[in-house]
Amino acid sequence: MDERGILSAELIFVTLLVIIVISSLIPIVNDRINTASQTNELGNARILAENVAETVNKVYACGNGHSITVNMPENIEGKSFVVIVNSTGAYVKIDGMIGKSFTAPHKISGSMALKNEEVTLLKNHNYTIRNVEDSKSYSWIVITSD
Amino acid sequence: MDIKGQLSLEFVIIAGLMLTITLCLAPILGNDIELTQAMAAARNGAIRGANIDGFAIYPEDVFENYTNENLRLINPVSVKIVEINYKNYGFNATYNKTRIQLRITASAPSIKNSKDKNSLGDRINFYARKSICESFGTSNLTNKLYNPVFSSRYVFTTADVRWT
Repeated sequence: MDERGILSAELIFVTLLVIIVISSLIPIVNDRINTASQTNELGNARILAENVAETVNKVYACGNGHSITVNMPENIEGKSFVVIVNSTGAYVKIDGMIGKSFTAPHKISGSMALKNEEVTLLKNHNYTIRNVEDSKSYSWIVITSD
Repeated sequence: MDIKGQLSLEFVIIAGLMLTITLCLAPILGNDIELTQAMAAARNGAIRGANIDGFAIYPEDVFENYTNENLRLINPVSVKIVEINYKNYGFNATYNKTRIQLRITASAPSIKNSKDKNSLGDRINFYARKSICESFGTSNLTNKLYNPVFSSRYVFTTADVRWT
């Protein structure tokens, strides 16, 4: 019976300690999880912008007629986003934040009409990026939704 | 029954003793726990700031500003938090709390320009202070730059980030 008594006292002491430790750890752990989630979000957004910029450069480098299809994800860490491509680079906008991946200067068009403009790539869409030569033999990057 | 009675008495004495010890230690432990929590929050915030610096994905107004003035920072860069220290400046009568200054040491080998480093460092410090504020729920006591930032017993400021 004595052993049982000692066990109970130890149990209370240990339980108190555990409660104190856990209660001080919960906000820290919660904050860490949020940071990890945000890091993942920023990382994925950066990768997406780099992929689009790299594809634009690759299509331009491969010459007239070359095309590559890029798939926009449904979301990034559950958050909505857009990618905007213009003649200087690919911009990713997510959660009030914006990042840019540089491309070599190209003429960008959202249609075969070949008007220099910025093109917005929306989530959950597929886009074909192609190299098109105009009548003066200038290369254009044309981005159209499939 | 006697045995049970003695056992209960021992238990009450031990429990009472532990309660007394705990109550005596509580203020000291409370200070340490609060500071530990603040340092953990600061570390978390500093890492968050370093990540934003690293991925070069900024709030839109900052992005606009960097596009005009710090073009290097538009590109991704490797930023690493090396160390976070604090210095206790003792009781501050103005705030009626103990003043703690955080000093964060970071590394960004590819950034050479001191203006760019300052911008990166300011963001790391900002998110460190913001994280402390969120951790203690004291946003009503501070300003929009979270400088200084408060917990129950401490007031926190940040020194310029030291770069290695």
